[in-house]
Amino acid sequence: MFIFGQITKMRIKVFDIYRNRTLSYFLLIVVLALGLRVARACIDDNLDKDSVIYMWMANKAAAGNFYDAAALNERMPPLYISAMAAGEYIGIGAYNTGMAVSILAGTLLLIPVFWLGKTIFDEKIGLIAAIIVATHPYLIRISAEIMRDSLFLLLLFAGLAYAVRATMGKSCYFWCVPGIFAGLAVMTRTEGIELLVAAMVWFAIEIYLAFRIGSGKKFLARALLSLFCLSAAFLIVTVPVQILLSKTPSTWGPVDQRIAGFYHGFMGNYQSGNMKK
Amino acid sequence: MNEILSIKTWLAFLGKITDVVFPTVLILLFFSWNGIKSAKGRPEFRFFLIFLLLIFASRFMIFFSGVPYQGRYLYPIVIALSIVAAVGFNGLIAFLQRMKRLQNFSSTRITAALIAVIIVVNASKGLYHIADKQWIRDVSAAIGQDSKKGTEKTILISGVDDIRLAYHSGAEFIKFTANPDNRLLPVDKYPKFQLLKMMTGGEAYLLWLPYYNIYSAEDFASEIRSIRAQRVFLFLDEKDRNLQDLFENEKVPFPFKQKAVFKEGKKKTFILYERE
Repeated sequence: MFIFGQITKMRIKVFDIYRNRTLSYFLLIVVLALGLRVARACIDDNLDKDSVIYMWMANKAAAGNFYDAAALNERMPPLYISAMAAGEYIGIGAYNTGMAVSILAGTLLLIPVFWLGKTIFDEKIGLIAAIIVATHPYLIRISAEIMRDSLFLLLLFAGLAYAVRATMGKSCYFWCVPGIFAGLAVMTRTEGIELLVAAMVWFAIEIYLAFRIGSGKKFLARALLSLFCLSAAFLIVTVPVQILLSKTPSTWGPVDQRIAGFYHGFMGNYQSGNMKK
Repeated sequence: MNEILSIKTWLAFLGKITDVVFPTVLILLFFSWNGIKSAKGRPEFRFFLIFLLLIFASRFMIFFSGVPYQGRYLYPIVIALSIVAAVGFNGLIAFLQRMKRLQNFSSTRITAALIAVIIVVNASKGLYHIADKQWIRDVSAAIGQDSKKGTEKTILISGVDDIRLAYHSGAEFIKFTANPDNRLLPVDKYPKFQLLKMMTGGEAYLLWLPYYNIYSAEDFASEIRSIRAQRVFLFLDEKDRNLQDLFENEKVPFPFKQKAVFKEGKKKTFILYERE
């Protein structure tokens, strides 16, 4: 009787989806996004050079040869390759797993996008933003390729959505959630660190504004605790992986060593006037 | 200093962004100002704005640092701008309602039509597909032709550095280069060309390492004949005639026969040879 009661309750909840107009529209957009991404994957059989390297790395990792897998591209963040390797290991195949992860991540990206639109503006804006992202041609393409960008975008924007929620007076500990997502994003593409930098800049501005209205000291303590939670969660996710990978030729770390190179390249061009036109 | 203030430089960067952002989003962005004003001053909007400016600034820095730049680096900006563009939806509807021809239509109809237009335009572009570098598949098919997969060892020596050739053909991939890596060689004995193979190097890393140094046509021809593989292919850009010239100059018969010719557009031609 108890189980029957639970099933009945679940059925009522399922029917509630149809009563909730926003949720119904959103689910329709998700179905549209998934359909477009699957259709693109069926049409497009182009393979990027990077995709081949990813598959080789995944195949080697699945065979237990982590050393050679890491050596194929020492700077490669491990998350997407690990997912592909897991797929290869259980028999789905690195290609199929890579494609499935990209399609699913590209579809699930609508959730943080809707959430961001809803939080910053309103529900309607969230739905329109979801439609734009669901049908955006380049986002459809990237979601139907064996590339890590689709997963990276999902993790980055999930982190951003939680960070935006955290700015709305949530508990300091809530900042751990964007920290975890930033960590996972960095494990997919090193640009994920930008979320952490944005949080630091935001806290600096908010502390300044709080001091101007006289509540600076109280906010400062709160900001420091929040930043600690964010950074701690980020490091807890990333540092153990870096330690594990340090036994292989991998040079991946939470902070990309190339940032200094980009900076020097930029400053070199800036000073010599030898910029790209 | 003058370059960073140069309009041309900025236009090149903004051109890349506008190309990736896509016109439907740009039109909506144009109408989004009034909606944005309503969110101004709120901490959550400030955070979003800081994030947007930061990713914009970092992409700008990467663009000017001189590394090869790909459109996909800009996708986070595309998504962030799509959220801002959604704000312009109401503004665009209000603008359309002011048009004389559309005054008789209800806002619900205009909204539905606008959403349909966005979906159709975006999705059409998203599903439009051009087979990129078809020759890669054609070469692979030509290599796979007449060979018993899994039982025959096939080697592809390629002057075209595209790893996809190895993936699609299933052949062992050996790079041919006219610019030998001389670091591991005695100073007085530089080869003319080099074959590179992915091998475990001195530090136990997988690297593209010199596999065979080509000093003369005679040596190379005998090496090719002695390779223990059922089929050995050579794939070269038609313009890259260094190897053929070496054989012609030394009057040694070329150990390969032409198997097929592949074209990429009108400018590029590739030739596949097979060991005789």
